[in-house]
Amino acid sequence: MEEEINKRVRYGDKYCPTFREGDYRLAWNQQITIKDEKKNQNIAFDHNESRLDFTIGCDRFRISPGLIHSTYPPPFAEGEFDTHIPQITFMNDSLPWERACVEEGCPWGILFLFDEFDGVEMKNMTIEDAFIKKADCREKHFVPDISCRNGEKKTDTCTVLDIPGKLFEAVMPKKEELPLLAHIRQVDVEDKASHLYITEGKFASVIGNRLCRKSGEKLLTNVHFISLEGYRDFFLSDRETFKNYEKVRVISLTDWKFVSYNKNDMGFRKLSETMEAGYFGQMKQQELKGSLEHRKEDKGQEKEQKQLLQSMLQLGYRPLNHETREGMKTVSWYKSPLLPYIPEFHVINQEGKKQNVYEDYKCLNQPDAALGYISSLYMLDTTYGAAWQLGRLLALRNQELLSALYDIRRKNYEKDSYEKSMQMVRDILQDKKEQEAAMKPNEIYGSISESCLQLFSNVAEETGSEKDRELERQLGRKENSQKKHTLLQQIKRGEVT
Amino acid sequence: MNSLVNGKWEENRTRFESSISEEEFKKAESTFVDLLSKYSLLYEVPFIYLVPEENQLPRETLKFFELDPYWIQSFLDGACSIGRNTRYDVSHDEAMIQVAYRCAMEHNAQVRRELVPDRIYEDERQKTGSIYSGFLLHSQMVSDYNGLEITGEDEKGNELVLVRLEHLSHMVMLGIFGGRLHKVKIAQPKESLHLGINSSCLRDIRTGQRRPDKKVEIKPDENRRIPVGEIAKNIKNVLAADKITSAELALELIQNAYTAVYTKNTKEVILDEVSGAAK
Repeated sequence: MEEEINKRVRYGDKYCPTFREGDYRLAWNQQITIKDEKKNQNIAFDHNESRLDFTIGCDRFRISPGLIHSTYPPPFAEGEFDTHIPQITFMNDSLPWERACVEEGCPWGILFLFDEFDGVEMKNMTIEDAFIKKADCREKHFVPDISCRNGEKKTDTCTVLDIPGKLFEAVMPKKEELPLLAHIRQVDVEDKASHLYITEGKFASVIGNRLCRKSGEKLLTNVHFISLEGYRDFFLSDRETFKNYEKVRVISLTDWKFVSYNKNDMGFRKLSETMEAGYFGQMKQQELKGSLEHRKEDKGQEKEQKQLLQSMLQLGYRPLNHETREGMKTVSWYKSPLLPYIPEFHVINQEGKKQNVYEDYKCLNQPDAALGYISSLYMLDTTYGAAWQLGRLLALRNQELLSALYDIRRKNYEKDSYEKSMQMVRDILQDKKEQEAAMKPNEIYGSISESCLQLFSNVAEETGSEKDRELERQLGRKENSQKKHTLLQQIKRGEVT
Repeated sequence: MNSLVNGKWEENRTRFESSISEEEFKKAESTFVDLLSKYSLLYEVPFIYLVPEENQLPRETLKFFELDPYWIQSFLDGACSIGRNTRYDVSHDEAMIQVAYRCAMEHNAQVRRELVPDRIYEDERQKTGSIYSGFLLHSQMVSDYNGLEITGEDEKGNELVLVRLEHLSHMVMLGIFGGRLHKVKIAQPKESLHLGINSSCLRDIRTGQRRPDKKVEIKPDENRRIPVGEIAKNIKNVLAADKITSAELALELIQNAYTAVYTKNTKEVILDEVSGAAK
């Protein structure tokens, strides 16, 4: 069942995956029967049974940090959390119901909150030590019956909590309360950072059922997401008997800490109120200390230089160490692509017209070509050279880009060389027409071979569109005539066929 | 002499300019345009190139910026400079880079969408111009509240297209919008809003709206244990609902979210009512 409160949040009560955890076997066999009409009998072929064994399960001893979306209160947050219910949110919307440790539909893990006054012990042990040997346990220590399954090793470590029996009995939820402790939320991910944008926006949350202590002193509070494996009996029948155990051992799947402190609040509201907004890279007046500060005695060049320095810092420039091509060490200016001002998109060109800066970009052969020189400071501006060099370095390791670039050049060069030869032919044709007009027919045809003429007329047909003729008319006759003349000469001499 | 030599290359460039068409380029070289679009949004650019000095981005600050198109163009030129050996290559590249730059900038908005290629959007394509701006956020908020919801507006109040939003580290977030950013709204992630025991009143299960007349008192016991079952029962009685599952319980106990609104020189924190209209 799902509840929608607005377009942005939808709540769901549970999502149980179709497959339960466990060991599965996929087995199949094939039987082919052929009817022999002559003998009127069936011949059967049996194919041996094939099997595939596999295990469906999730990690029983820890939860990968990648599956955790967030926790509330945030780790090591300080504040007044005594009316806030602790909560953990998972990236995977089915995680709390993936196993049925107590019953179908109940989450298999819950949140357990404690602080230093509760007498809970946390231990890091191997699975063998914690659940099989139990060397550190006394008589009245309840340890659930847990053994290794497929893919788990006895030597794997896990985190366990030893909780006093009375506390465990008192704070554990009742069986009918378990399903209420986990729910699903579906939200719109359109405005989220890319690692969440790529998800479907379905998350599972598990809430705690215990609040933290109200404290005037800083009190470190632990929250553990514990597994309920081995506690089916506790929830389904004799809850009371757990009072008699001194300690009870549970697996801690993940944990975080926060500080309960009434006099401070570092919640979202406080964080957003303390946040300072402004332009990136700008320097405040009070930050310009020492030699950069304006002094009354500064005069002439010194004053000018200081003003320039200040304005450069305001524009986001920063002086950085610079090793030149010759190996010289110096200090030069660099500016990030993130500007603290609105960049100029248009400049007035020499002809007095407005022009887009980015339409007149000249390619560089090397980054030094983009170095700027700030003459009044005797310093270099490396900004665009650095950008160029970075682009080159990144592209060098990007094979996809390089092969795409190579392909583009190859294609365009081929196209261009075809264009160029066509142009030449057009030029020659143009020239021929000119000569035709000037000479008698015999003079022309006498010296050019028949086959060559045939070729030209073919091309002329091919390219003889209205546009081409127009082009031919417009072609600068003077500048091309020399080239055409030489070629014609060559053709006449029989060097080019 | 110089003018003669240059004239030849000018001729080459003009020829290339006329032969490389934008439409064709976009179609034929989609991988190339894709990669350049990513570069134009500063993907793969090391952090030190963005923030050369640590003090430019102190903790608990939100810094606005305008993207420098000339920097991007130099950067893309550098990326296209591999294998550019002869003057002929240069004349080709000079013509190509204009087209490639325009295609990359136009394709920008698709980069984020292509992260999830099979998601269906109502509007086919998002258009962005040549102006890009954004913000850098360095705050505890980024790590504590995973999934912050961020929207940007220009001075006229139009919502801008978000072209890149990423965690650069666990405390630093980078956002780039198409257009001139004036106002940034940062909302608490709704998937991880916490529940609390001092809600002023209950909400209607069907509509999600506040019901000031309906209240349930929640009292933790001496072990600070919250009787979740009892609360669910009380809510059921007060609202006369059929049943209360974990979904309804979350709906009733959820606390309101804050939205922080920033411009370059103002800030404001608004309390958002989470509930709204529903089926």
